[in-house]
Amino acid sequence: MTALDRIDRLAPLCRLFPELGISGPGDLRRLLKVALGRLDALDRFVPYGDGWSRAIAPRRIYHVLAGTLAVSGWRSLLEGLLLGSENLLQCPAEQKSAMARFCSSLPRSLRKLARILPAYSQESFASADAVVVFGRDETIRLFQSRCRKEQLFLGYGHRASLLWLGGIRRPTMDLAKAIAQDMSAYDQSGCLSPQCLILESEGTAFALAELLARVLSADARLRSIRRPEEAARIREARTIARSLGWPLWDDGDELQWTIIVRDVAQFQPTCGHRVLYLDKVPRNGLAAWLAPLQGHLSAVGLHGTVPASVQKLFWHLGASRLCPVGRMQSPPPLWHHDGKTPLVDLIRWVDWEGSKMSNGRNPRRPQRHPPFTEER
Amino acid sequence: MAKEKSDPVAWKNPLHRPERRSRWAELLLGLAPNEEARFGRLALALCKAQAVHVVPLQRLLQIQGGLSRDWRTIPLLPQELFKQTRLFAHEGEIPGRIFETSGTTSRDRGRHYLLDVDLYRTVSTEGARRAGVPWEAVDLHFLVPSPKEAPHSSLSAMFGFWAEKGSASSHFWIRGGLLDEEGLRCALTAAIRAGRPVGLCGTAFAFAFLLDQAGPALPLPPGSFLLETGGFKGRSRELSKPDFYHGLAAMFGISEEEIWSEYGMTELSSQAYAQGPNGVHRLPPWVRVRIIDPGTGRECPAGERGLVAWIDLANIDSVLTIQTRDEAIATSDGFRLFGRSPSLPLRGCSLTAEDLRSSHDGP
Repeated sequence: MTALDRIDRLAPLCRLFPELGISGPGDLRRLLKVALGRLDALDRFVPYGDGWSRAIAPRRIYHVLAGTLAVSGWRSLLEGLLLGSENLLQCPAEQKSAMARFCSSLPRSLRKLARILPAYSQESFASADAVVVFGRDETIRLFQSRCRKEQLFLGYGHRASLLWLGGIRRPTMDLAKAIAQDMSAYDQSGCLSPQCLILESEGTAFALAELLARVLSADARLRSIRRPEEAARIREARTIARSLGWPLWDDGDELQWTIIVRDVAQFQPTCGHRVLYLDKVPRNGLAAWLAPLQGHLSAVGLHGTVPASVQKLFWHLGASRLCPVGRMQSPPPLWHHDGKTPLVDLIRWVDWEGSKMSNGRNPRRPQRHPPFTEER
Repeated sequence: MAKEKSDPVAWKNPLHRPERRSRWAELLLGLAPNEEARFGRLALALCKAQAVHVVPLQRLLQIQGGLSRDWRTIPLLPQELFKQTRLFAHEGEIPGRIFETSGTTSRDRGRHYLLDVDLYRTVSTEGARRAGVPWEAVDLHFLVPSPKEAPHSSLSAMFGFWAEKGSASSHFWIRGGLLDEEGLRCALTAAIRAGRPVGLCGTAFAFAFLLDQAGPALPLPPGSFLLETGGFKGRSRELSKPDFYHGLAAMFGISEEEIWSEYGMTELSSQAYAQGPNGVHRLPPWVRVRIIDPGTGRECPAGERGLVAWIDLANIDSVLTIQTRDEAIATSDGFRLFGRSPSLPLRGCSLTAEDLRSSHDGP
């Protein structure tokens, strides 16, 4: 099966799972083309410098997936399938049904390339030639330490995102709706979910909090039943805010959303579950305030003009994505997740430097019987 | 009634004076287990005194419209608040001792400011005595650093008090962050040969380390006991309690009923103790526990699982009411502990406070 065949088979799946942010075959083609330069590089030798080169995908990828945020696991599997690799999926219990639903939607010809494992399997792990891990830094370190030297390893650690509105003076209802969209999706559990919103003026913070409270109160989608441990963390965050005198807006015992105008010396993570902190941080103190995030920053949702110095600060803290407010949870298909071009790190290249292949043909021409055995 | 008048209900903030602290300690030790009304009066008096200088408590009281006559309405302050701000009930005084929770950077640590350890010494020795922990008549071996080496550890301090007051010898076996396993084994072997009972006390993690070493068994003499504390919260190592106790009993040749579990924390002054793998944690008379339903924020109906809220009359220097993240079910004489509430942040890929802490643990 060629890459184009796989794209044809995967495209309908992308429409079934819009969370992937991949709208159809065009996006899948672009993914491959950006990573490989051409669409056929996985299927044959393609011109490269003075010779030819061919992209080699892993035969088997072992995925270690984290948490209940299903979309990251779906995307990882999709990329593996696009490359034509076999995919072994180690899922946390709470994510298994979502992954099973995704796998059952695969066309029959690709379904055999995806297998959900009941638990960690050393044998399966060792048999893979690539390992992709999502999780905490210690989880990533653990699996990396288990890898053989020749196994490709890709780790995606936990990261924090934030909103930066700078010196905005008059927040609008549209802006509040966009912020509410960013903080609400995935119950604020994803690495693209904003943990806090940074402003330069406290007065703006109050006005914005009022608007956010109106938007969130009116959002009928926010009606999930909280698990006890979620409720405990939300209540704890609220009690701490009240006891420290931080202004707070919330929905009472519904526990769906909380807005807190906070006063802390440095960045502190939220407990998630739509607890958004509004932090007043002057521009000249921003670097010190964000210092705990060094190397952990992911996306920054922006509004208005962003000074070059602020942009640079975000890059140095590790940001891989700067986007308009309201689009934080909808990364484009080519998004550099943790700064990496999709697919590229899973690929190995083989170069052919002779002018002719072993059978005497020019390798640029399609081969009916390629000189090297197809891998599958 | 004259005695009732001497209860400190009308005191404004008397608890920084040594004589008042001694009197308070006498009052606590004089409480009987089911003396509800008296407990309530003392709790309300202490809350009023603390609210004078502990602004977060003051704010929570204002929000709820003041203090009623029921001690159960005293606001519960989250344990996490000890990481955010200084909770010290004696403005203008200098804390004599600061206990710190574990944490890699100073930003991550919760701090419990004590004016003096006098009351902590009193209740941590008397509480263990009343619970029936036989610490006074045996050689004590502690799997923690000494108070001198770990001056900010409340657990080391407590064991230090036991060592001071106990009638036999004692030794702290963690030095420079390492357990001196060889020294400990030699000491225990000597005690076994001499038939001298010992008390081996330490964190569950330290005991698990000993189990992992799989060294020869050390069958302790009759009258010996083990005391573990802290569970496995925040550690990659997890063991079920039955397996843990089974392993300890096998290694030290004692009955599982001779293993005690201590429930305490840096932010508290008093402790609860459970005996054996199925034991209920029992409270001293100066402590009450409320089990809070996180869904409603109210007390759970009897028999339902919720979070431990600790009301500690010995916590005079900070706040007396603390909401923990530990799960338990209330029983008639204490609570059945299940351990730390599951850590939610692991659900998604969003960075958490725990991640930030662990990222500072790396090489």
